[in-house]
Amino acid sequence: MRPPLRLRRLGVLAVAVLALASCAGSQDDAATTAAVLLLDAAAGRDGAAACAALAGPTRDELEQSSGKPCEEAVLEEGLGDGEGPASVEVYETMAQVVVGSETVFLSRYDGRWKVVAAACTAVPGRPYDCSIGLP
Amino acid sequence: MRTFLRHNGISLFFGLLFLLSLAGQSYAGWHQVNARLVAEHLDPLSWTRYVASSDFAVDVAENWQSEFLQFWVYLMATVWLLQKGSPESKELDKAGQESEQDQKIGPYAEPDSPTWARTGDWRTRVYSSSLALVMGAIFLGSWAVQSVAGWAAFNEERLQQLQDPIAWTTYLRNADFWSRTLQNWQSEFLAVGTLAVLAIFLRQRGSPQSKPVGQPHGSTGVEG
Repeated sequence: MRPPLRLRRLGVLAVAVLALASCAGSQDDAATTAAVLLLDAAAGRDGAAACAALAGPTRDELEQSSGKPCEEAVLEEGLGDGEGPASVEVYETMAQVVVGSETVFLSRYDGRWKVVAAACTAVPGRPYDCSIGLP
Repeated sequence: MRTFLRHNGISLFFGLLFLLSLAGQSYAGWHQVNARLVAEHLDPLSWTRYVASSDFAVDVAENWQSEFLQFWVYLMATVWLLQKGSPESKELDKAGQESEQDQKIGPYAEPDSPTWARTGDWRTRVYSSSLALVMGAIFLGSWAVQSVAGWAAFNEERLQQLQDPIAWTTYLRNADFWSRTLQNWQSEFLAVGTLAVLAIFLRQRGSPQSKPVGQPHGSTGVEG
């Protein structure tokens, strides 16, 4: 026997809420993965992989400011390794991932998370000072 | 069909205007957001992505909450407050909730009065405030949506500026929330107050919001 109509509607609502919650959770995971990709690549001295994790404009800015190819410049920025507990905050198209002592900012490009700023130092009351960042 | 259109002209007209202006707002807002994103070297959004965003939601909700607050305050204030000469005001001897006889409730209800107006019990008390209850609920609901959507949009902007996001409870005390809220409230209250006063001296022939063209300025609570 089918459940009463109101219970079926509650079931549909519950599924919708769970779906939204799982979407939010998957965005958190995707952003964290992208940030850890950069930090692991830098720790493993793999400049190419590290640069692949950066957003295009960030890569261009790094090359322009350092005067070197991205694969070289990114390994000279003193990025920490991807070790330690990770916390993530995602708001729409932006994310902030903190892994150990590293704070990384990401944005979505073509639906994928890319690092827009890294090697960041907190400045009380002001924006982070990041040596890798957008123009 | 013609009768239906004639009897429901106001709701259909304003419903259509609402849909058209909401669509226009979505288009203009989409371009505005994308111009800012491109300037900051970030990826622009598709229209469908934008209308599902907190940016769009807060821009819609902050206007909705103020409109429903405006009408809620107007409903409640005009029960007790008067404005001599204004068609927006009751007559000068009718401040307050008025008698049961005037309001046609309980024993004074008519055969075709709404059912809850006839019972005279808690249902009449609830129905007597039903308009304010619903308008108030919509105001509170849309203000809550503004607070959540505004918080998400604000934090997205903070991350774009390489700043830490803030908690929702902190956002409720933030200038962004109150600036959005109060910039809307001031215009709503100005509009109703202005209408109430201008309608003392000015006329719009045929409108129920105006006194008849030849009605004296001193007449209160008379509509055309």
